[in-house]
Amino acid sequence: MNEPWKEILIDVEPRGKEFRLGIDGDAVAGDIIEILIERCSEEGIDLKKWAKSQVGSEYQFVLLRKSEGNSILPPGMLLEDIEPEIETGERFKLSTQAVVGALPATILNRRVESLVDEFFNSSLADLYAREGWVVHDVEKKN
Amino acid sequence: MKFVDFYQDGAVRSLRFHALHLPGVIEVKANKEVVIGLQHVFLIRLPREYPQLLGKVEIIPETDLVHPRIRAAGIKACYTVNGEVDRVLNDIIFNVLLRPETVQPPSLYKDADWGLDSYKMKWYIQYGPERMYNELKSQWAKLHDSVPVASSKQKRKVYIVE
Repeated sequence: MNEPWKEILIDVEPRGKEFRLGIDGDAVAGDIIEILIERCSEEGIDLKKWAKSQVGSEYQFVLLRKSEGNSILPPGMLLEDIEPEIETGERFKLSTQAVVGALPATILNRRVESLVDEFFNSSLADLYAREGWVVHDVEKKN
Repeated sequence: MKFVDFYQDGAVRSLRFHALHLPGVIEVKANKEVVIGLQHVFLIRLPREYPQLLGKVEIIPETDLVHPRIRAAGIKACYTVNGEVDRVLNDIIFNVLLRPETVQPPSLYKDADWGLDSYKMKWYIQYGPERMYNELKSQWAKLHDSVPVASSKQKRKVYIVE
């Protein structure tokens, strides 16, 4: 694996232990949130359920930048374009927000993309596994 | 899977799902011969309020499919999933496979209706919902002995170090 652009730390409250993540400059906050949900799910932690318990059924995940007064990381902006520049070792926190009205377009599109990925990488793979079929190319979960 | 069109503010409005190597009934001939097709295309139209108002998510088949809750290609299917996009995709597979729990024929589900085409529902019931589902599923299983599944996964831009 190539060297990441930066390494950051993310506090995920329901996990009780922070993650250290390698990020590329052309990733966005949504990519980080997606991998956190995925990894937590593998560890048996249901972040969606946690989010609902925090703010209700219409929720969205956000990343807070601790060094900038817990400001919300712009969801659709490339990480390398964010000012001030993200530092290696910088700390962030996963949080939730209630959604009032329609979701902003960028967040909605990220959500749909992430659900499509979830279908191909998880739901479809699970379905194949239930049928006892060999799954090629689709990443298996341990 | 492709985004097809967008609302004015850039939010995705429709997605097109190409289901490949998935057996579904595309025609029933006069002599009752069943014709199976392996490629099916669906348009999924999202309301701008998504993920609220999930009942307004529309599923529109773009290829022929014999299904009691589908009138014809290009016409909105008569069923709602009441779930997000991943559940809709999952549901489409089981609709193509004519799974009884998904199609809900009134012969098996007491409050179920006759769908958009009672002729197709009668055909489905007469053929045997379980029998139909098992036949299609068995064809699907055979295809999966040799057909690799295309992964949508792209290179990760983020990964967990620890």
